[in-house]
Amino acid sequence: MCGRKLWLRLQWREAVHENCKVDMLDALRKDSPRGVCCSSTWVISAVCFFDTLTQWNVWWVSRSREKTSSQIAHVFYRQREVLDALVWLGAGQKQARHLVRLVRLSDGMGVRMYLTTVCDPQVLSLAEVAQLYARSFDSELAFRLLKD
Amino acid sequence: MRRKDHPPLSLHDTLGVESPTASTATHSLIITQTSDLVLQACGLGPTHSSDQVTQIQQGESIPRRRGRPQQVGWTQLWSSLLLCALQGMHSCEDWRRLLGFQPIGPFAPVWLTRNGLVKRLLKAGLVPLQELWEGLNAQLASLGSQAVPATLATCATEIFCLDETRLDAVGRYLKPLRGLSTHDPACFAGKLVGLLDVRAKAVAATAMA
Repeated sequence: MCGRKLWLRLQWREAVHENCKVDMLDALRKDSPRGVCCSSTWVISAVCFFDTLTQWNVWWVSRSREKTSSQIAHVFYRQREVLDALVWLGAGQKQARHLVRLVRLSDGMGVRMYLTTVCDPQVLSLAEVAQLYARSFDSELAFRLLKD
Repeated sequence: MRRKDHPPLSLHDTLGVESPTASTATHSLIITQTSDLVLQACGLGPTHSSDQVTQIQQGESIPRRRGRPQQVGWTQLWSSLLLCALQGMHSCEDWRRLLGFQPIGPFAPVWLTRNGLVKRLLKAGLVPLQELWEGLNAQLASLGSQAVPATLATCATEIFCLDETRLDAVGRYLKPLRGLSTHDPACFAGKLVGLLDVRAKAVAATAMA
């Protein structure tokens, strides 16, 4: 028997070349307020996406792109590579309306940076952010299971 | 009158001759049955009793028309196609082998030509497949999430993973595809978008029943 996964949703999309992840987020909005979603990639690069998730009460964890423009608004913790801070994403007119949390830590092999809409470190610690992001690769394993 | 040299029809043979323009009731029955079969094959649905098996086999039966009877019913056709896609279908030949070697629910294996299968697909169009996916989605939603106690991110009611992946390009074995490059849009097989419940218990298997 293969490993088992529960598929929550199976939908048909004709416009396959478009970003289909955004459609799936609508389901999160209805089914899972105060749920957390993690993704190995950004759904869309626009900073307004995080604002929308904040308004929906859906928490989000993803990695931070290297060239993401951000401005630190408040630092919770900073020690060598480790940084836990609230940042404004974007700049100028494209700046986000809500603060997001930037988490930077070292895993011994390199420095990792994550963004999350959970802005309280006491609610979600640095280590938990990293662990959540690691769990996002469960989906990769599930896809591999299907493809193989 | 049956010819002596013709083998008798087995229990698994599909007697009825259907068409995509069948009545709405028959059409929705086919979609429901196909969804049940796919979920059952994935370990998500209940096992069919003998009565239900008979119902499935008779469900598509409508008056026969002139011409050679079709050997494979729509339920078997769509179920096998979807299961083959979920198993990593590379070409129509994979689908043909699945139909030819493995029983799909109550249906016995049927060996058909590749072009015959493609013709059936072209005849049916995309609408039945779309309806099938919507039916499956509705059934999956009703199964619910079997969450385990959370040890990670206890603040969150649920944890999901969202990701997408491209399916392998379609093999260029058919005549219309032979001249195309691998990256041609016509060879694009589609992609999967997954929303997985991280805390969910192991429920589904992709192995064939």
